[in-house]
Amino acid sequence: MANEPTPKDDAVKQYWNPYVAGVALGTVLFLAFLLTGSGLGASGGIARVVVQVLKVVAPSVVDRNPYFAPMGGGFANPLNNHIVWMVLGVLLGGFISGLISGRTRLEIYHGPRVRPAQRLVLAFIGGAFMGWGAAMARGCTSGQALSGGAVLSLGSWVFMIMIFAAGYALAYPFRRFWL
Amino acid sequence: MFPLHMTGIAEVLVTVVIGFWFGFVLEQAGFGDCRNLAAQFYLSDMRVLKVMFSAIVTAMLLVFAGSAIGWIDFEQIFVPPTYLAASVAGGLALGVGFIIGGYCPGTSLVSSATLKLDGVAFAIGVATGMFLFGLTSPYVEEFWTVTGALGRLTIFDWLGLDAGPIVLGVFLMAVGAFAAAEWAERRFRWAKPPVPGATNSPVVLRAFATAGLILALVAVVIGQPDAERKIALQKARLDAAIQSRKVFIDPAELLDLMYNNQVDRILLDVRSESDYNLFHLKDAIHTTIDEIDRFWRPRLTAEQVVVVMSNDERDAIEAWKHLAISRNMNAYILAGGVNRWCDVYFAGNLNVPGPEFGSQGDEHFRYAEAFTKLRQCPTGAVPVGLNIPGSPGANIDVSRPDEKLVSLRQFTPKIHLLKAVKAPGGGCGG
Repeated sequence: MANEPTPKDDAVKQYWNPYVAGVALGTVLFLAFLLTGSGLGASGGIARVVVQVLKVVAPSVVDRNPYFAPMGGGFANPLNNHIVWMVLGVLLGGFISGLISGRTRLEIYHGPRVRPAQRLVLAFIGGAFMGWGAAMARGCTSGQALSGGAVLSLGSWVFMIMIFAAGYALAYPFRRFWL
Repeated sequence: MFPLHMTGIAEVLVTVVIGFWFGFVLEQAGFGDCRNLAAQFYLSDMRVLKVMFSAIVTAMLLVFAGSAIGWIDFEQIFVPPTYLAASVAGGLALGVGFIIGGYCPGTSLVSSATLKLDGVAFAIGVATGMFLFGLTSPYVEEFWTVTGALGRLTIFDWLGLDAGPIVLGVFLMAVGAFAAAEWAERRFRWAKPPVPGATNSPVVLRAFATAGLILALVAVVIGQPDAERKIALQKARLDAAIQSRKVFIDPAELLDLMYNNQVDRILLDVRSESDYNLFHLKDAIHTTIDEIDRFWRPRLTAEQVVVVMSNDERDAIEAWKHLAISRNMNAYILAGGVNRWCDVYFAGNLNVPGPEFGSQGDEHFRYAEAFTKLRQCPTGAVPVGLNIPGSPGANIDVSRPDEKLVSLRQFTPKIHLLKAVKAPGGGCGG
């Protein structure tokens, strides 16, 4: 489980150069616009899984809720949406990429001063903030910041600036998590 | 012209393949490791900024250069609608989540796919946060959906500029940010992430920068197409629709439509204001081509039936083109114009040609004199020249005659109800 010292074996390949990766990502995003008219997304897929689970457990909650109802109210199937297929593709692409680069292996990434168990709790809490925020902002870094930013949506740029502003504002108080 | 709108199995396959490469590139960029992502906020590894901004700039340049040369219809590209308050609150929450949890929803999926348990914990956290938002959403609904809601709004529309200068500006800003990032990485070295990325190749970077600058200049110099250029670009399709007369509707079909309360209909009258004041169809709105470009085209959708009319057909056809360049438009032309309408419902001549036959009139309102006289008559007088079988001498309202009169005329129905073809949306959170 320990991930330090980080694996240095030859099987782990180097990451792509960030600019090359960025241009590749931008090309994928552009192709998404060309072929589907929309950009990329991720959080929508997670949201729809949440709604699907709720629909089984407590359908009346879904029907009456301003956030859940548009995705799965009434007879609507929350999983019947292109974003769910995209998330499946993301999982597959990430898995294959990690596999051929020697990075698909069971482990926990964490800062040098954070124990693995603590890291899992922190990841869960951070994820909860982000899930709330992505629902509030109608999109995450993929759907809003990346896709909306590329088509110069005003709200997406405001959103992106706010992410960086909050991140940098809290970087010092939370430095123990990462340094 | 792009974008394509795929449905069914083709859409599923394309989406899975796009998602695959999305996940693949994120993983190869090092975004499956939270330490690489968090390092962005400690300035020691600016990979997040470099990858994100070069991706945004690449897609932006290709979209707007493609739109400038007429290959892409930007109106059909999904632009996430702006909700300022929700964007600020959501963005701040994402920043907090980022510094605590180290991922974002997309990267946590990639991390989970490579079997990192912290990525899995993060993704479960995201699901939990969305559930919590859902529970609280009834209480924040107004803030979420109303406060600062501006609809589809781009930075260049907001500033009232063409897209070109903004595209160039964002490109140059990104180049500046990359230079600053390189400097920061040399300056702040306290948390060098364990696995480095490939080093920068000056040749590759110069090639990217040159290509980017060329695309930005294409967007600036050519500019986004205005209505006239879009009409020229789509000339074949528009002319075919006019030649086949499938967008011309008979006066009787329009009358039928006016009594159909199930259909959202908009009647646009592009004649001179004096003709309009003399006589117009009930609920017809006086407008101009300029107003169509600025006001109507951005607002009308495929679910609305739009009927454009002039005295004859020439001006209405021109106005119709300004609507029909938008693919999500269900626009028709009143065959023979207001003159033919008056032939039928004012003069009572039921044998005027059907919608298959155009009119070559010079846009002169042939009934101007009659309506001027009518205006001078006392209220309740019988309109001159009225001869409607079945209602002899009745004082009917020519602007919207009785519904029964629809059946007096045979016509080939032309109006089809459409469903808007929309990009499926960014998908996140909705």
